[in-house]
Amino acid sequence: MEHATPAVLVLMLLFVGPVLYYIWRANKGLEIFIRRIPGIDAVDEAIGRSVEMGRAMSFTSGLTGVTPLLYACLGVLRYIGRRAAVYKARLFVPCSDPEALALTDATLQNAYRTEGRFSSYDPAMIRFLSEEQFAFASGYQGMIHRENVGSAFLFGRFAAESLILAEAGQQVGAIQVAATTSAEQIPFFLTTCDYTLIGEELYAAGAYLSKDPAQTGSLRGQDFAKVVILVLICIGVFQATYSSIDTGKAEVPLVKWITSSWSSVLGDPEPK
Amino acid sequence: MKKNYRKILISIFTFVSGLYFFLEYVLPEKIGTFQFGLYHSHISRGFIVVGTMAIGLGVINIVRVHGVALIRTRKGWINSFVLLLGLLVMFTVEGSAFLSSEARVTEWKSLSDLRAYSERVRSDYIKERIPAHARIELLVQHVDKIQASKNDSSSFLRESQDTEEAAKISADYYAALEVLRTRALSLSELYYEREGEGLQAEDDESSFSLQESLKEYTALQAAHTALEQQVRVAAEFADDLSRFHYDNSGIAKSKSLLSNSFLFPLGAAMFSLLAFYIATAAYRSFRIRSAEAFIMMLAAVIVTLGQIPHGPLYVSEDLPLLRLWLLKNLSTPAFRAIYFGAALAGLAMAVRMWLSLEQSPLATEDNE
Repeated sequence: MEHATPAVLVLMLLFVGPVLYYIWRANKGLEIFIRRIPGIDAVDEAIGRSVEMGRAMSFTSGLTGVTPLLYACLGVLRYIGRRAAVYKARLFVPCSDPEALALTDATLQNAYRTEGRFSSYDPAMIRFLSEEQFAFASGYQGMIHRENVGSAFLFGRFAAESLILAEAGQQVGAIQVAATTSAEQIPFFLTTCDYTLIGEELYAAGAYLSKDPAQTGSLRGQDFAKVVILVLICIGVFQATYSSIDTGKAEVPLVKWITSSWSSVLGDPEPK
Repeated sequence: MKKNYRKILISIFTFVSGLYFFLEYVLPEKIGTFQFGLYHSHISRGFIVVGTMAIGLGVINIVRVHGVALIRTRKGWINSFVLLLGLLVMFTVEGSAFLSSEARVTEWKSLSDLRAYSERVRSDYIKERIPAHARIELLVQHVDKIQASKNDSSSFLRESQDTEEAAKISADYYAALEVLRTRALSLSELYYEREGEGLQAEDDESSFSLQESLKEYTALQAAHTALEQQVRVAAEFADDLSRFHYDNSGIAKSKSLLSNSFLFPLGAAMFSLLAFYIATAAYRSFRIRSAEAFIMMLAAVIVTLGQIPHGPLYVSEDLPLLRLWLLKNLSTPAFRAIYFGAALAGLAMAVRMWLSLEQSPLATEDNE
């Protein structure tokens, strides 16, 4: 079983500390500015377009399992679900993970209930297609064509099927907003979708749409955690450069500190 | 009030569960004699069980959505019918194949387990003087029972003359079983004699010397080793024979047909679509409409030509190096920046979930 080193624990606290501090400040009323993210603004545009054209909307979290990423996606789905409930728009949510399916169902039910339109909620909006990657892609493609969707939202983790999904929306002329942390799939979405959120922007989407203090505070905290990473990178670069000039070898004490196990700190023999 | 209690309960449960996994990861494997993650595999297995049950949710969803479409003959009901039929056929064939495979393994194991049985009988006799003759007799009876399945049409170990290869495997297997039976009988006789002598020795303790014990041990050891070797040989033939019968059964052929003739080719067909989609996506992105598009196209041309042999052959020999430089010095840092950002955001999200700090997407507004 993999265990953290003491340095990882310290770094974790350094990263989480600012996040918790700014969540606390935001809850106390600190106003936090979030820069404009065109991709997230486009969510409303896409919903409006679908409603005006009388076409359906689709939202998929791709191959995302039950992870923090899914919760970030559900934050956006909740927003879209509420808008769909208000405008009485048709919404389809194709799923590939049965566990995520249950959470997606609960999110949409509550979105409709929040808007007082629970009677409009149809469980058939959420469709389990397949856990198998390309069977899911095939089902999604068919659904996009059959329902002739006006807007498609692709938020979550995607693999090789990303281009198949995005091309399906492109073929029916849907406005598409994609967001993924799968770096290898970003180029495919960039070339096929109208708007693409890259990496952590997906996590920021929930904060941007809900203006929830905990989420906006967390965003500010993450920026400070990035400063910590930047400082560590600078220290590492300095140590490697100095060491290579001094001894001819690029030794980095910082790396040694990070990788030192508990046994070397506590003085215990290495576990067998 | 009821709703608040529910929220508090969920928050406590989430926190305690998260705390366990956090501590399991950050604490050392052992602190003195205390081991925090002693039951970690059991707890993890519990989560797997929950995940497995969730598969039922997927099946229920499919049946509900497509069942309604079929019953009400909604637009595209024929697709729903084909899907449900496919689900039923796949479920039946896969389920039957699983049961059939289990039955095959059970039959094979009933033979291969005789090795462990023989080892146990020997160990019990030598260490604790537990009578072994009757137990070896049981082994002989078991071998007789296995031999009787020769003409049982439902058995995976039945004799086969279907093909030359099958006839040979059958012949080898039943010959090996016969040898196994003979060796088991010899061992049984050996025990019968020893146990008889042992009873006499109990009456006259002086005649039971260390030398005789050693002789007895060596003889038994040799007979047991011969028996166990033969079990291994017979089990290998049994595996081949039962596999032959399984592979040639209707259910295994149906499973193979569905997988190799439908599922895999359809998956491959979907995957192959990517080639065409990449071409259309590339066409869209390579149209030079801005400075960024021009840079992107330039990088794509260099990477593409550097990847294929035609680049260094007809354009420039430096293209592979240039491609590598682009990937290592421009692409990799950009990827790393994305990963750093996403990892930090994921960590922050996990902390918020763990401490129930944010408005849950699963809650209605009046719940918050």
